[in-house]
Amino acid sequence: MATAVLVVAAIHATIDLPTVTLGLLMFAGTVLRPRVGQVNRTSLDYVIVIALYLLSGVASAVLVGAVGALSQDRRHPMLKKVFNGAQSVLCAGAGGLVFYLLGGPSGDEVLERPWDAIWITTAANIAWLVVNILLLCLVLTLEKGGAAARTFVRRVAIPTSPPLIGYGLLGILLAAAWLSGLGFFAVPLIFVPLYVSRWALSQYEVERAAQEATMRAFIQVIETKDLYTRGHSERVSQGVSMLGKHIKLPEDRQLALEHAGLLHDVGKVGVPTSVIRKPGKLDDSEWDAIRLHPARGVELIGDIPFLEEVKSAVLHHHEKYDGTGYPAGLSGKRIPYFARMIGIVDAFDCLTSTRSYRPARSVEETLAILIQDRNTHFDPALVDAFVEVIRREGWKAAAVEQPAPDATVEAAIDHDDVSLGSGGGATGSAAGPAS
Amino acid sequence: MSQSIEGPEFRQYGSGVVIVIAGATLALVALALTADRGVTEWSFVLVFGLLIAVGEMVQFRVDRIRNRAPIATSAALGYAMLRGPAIDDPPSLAQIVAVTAVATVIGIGPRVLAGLPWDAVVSSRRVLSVACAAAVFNAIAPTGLSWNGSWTHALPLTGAMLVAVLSAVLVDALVGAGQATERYSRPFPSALRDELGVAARIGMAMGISGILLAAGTSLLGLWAPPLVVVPLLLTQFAFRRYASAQTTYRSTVRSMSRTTEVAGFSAPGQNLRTARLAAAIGNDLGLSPKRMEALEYAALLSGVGQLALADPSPGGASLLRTRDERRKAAEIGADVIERSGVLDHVAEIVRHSSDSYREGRANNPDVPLESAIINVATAYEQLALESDRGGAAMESISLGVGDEYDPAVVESLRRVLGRGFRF
Repeated sequence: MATAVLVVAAIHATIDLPTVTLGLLMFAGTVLRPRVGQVNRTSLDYVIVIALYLLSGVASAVLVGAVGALSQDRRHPMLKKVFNGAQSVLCAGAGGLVFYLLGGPSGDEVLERPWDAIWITTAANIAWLVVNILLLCLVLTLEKGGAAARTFVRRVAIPTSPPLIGYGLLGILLAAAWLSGLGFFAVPLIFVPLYVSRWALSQYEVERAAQEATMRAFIQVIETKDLYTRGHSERVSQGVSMLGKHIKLPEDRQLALEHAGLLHDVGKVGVPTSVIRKPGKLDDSEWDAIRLHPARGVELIGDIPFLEEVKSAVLHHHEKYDGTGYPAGLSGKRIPYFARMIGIVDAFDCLTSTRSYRPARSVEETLAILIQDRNTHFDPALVDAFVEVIRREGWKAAAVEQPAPDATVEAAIDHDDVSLGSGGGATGSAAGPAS
Repeated sequence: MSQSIEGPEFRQYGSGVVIVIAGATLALVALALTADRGVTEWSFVLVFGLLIAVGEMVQFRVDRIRNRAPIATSAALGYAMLRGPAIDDPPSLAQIVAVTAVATVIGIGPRVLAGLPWDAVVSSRRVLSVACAAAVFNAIAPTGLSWNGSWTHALPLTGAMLVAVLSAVLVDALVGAGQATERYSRPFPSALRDELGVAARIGMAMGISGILLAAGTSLLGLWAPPLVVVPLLLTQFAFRRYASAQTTYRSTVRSMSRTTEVAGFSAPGQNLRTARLAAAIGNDLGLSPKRMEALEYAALLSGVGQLALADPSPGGASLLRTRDERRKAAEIGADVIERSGVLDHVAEIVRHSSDSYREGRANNPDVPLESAIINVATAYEQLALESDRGGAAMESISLGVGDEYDPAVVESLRRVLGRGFRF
């Protein structure tokens, strides 16, 4: 409602101040949009608006800002369209106000006072961005609460702002090239560099998504060896992701942690299927084959330029806090941070999943086991953090379509299972009273 | 494949040496002429020289795009096409070449000292194409034109700049195609087609940035270079991120292809060797870069389906298995690859990679050529490894031509081996 009022106010204000309007450029703005697609909208819009501050004054720039919002994705609901329109107008208006107050040059003055043109349009651009971010934060706060807005500022607004200020400089060039006598022909010259940068950014996303998808596909194949561990890697990745967000890892480490969670058991591909599927207890040589899987995993992913932490996490995810784990028998804080996190989620997912020799435990029951093993198996501080996250956000345990446990079948014992004695993986209170 | 070794790449290839000598000669002649006549407009020399040097210093490598220093290229092209009013006396052709060459050497210096990769051939190519653009621009833009605010001057100037940039891009594409033909034994027409494809996108983007730089500087003086270079730098960062994501992705595919080796389904390095041979055949047949990439991935991943079969075959000899088993493994592998959702074309290649020629391509035009290449490459790799003698392996392959193996691919394999291909 408030936005609708603002639109009306903003549009009225600009109609009251009619200056030279560059119909041609407005036209160019709306015509160019469908061709370059939705992704590029904002950058084209604001480069045009910045050029217009210089070319024909603030008011027509604001007007063009409104025109720019007219052709929107038809699938958007009306309210969103109105908001987007209001947002364009307010941003262009805020930039224009700054530009006007600082006495920015317009027309041929631009060529005579290039420095003024540069710093004043940059100031206007910053105002444009700040208002844009504030408006988006307002919407996010109203819709999803303050946390979403803070995440938006940290993850999106702050990283993207410097590039947007940089690309805003192209608006000045657009104005200069236009004034040089090129007129409308200046537009393609400016948009080619913009388009190329957008292309590179989109390719980056494509490559990264492809990598994620490929890793996931492979993990699934590796997990086909054992019915019961299907989806385990994905869930561990999910679990450490929740834990990582809770302790507010920076973005690149968060991503590395999720990758480490996904890949932690990739070395199991080197464990013979006969060992993985072997019913009952394993003998020493078979158990050795299992113990090798972290090293195998590192061998496999060693050439991928991940952060070093990913590799150390894969190697040490079976270490225990008291130093009784494998492969290196590290203890306490000498176990890599990510490995300690994965160790907790790994055990948690195993216990909350069905195994052929026992049913799944409930989440609460499992958390109690984790807490009990705080100092023997796990990093106590991380266990506390994980318990808090799970109690707050809940956990989607493994799907129950797995075969139900059948006491008569002697089946493979999961190497991650902490509820068993040394034959299955570990000793701990989870093993319960010795029988 | 990691055949290109980074570093001072004088390589064993003749054309690289020719290009470097041509660039160096041109640069020396230009330097001598400039020293003789004296340098005009020092401030522009310094600013543009600095841009070229910095651009050269922050170069990076994007796969398949050989020019690694787009900012240096744009800056040099911009300097080549300056006019009034900001500059009274546009730089002469010799001065343009001299500034480009000296700045390039200054930019490479720190990289050499720091032990970072650099490439004299690429830098020499830049000097040559900038000289070409400068010559064309000087020839077709009447000296009386300047950026005086009138379209009668601005449009002809812009047109001349476009033609100059286009000629530089074309020359560079021709040289690049020649080099690709020499290095990877690609047929020249398909190498030229690929180079022009890259040039149309990346080359023209650098050219247009050069035009912006020239026009902006002519109009606004030395305020303009930062206006162009800041967005260009941002674009370069975007490219760098893209390049590193691409590297990560490729190494992920390679690593994942080794799962079959770790699981004991194939011999160590087998997938990599097969992929290398497949790539050599693909180059020989002139496949486009897109298809080359799919071929490499498919060759690496063609054995993945075996993971779902219960027991490894000894030594990974997938030739020894029955055809049905191999086809089943290929089918499973294709399904696995398809599951990733991003490699559908690779999955299609893998699906048919165990089809014999008679059952596959001979009668079914939908079976991709890439499948036939992998079929042959896999077989040759296995046979060569077993017999320890390439000749015997080639003989066995020859026996299966037209029945088991695609004749065109076997012909290509013969050529590849004839050129001395080694695993």
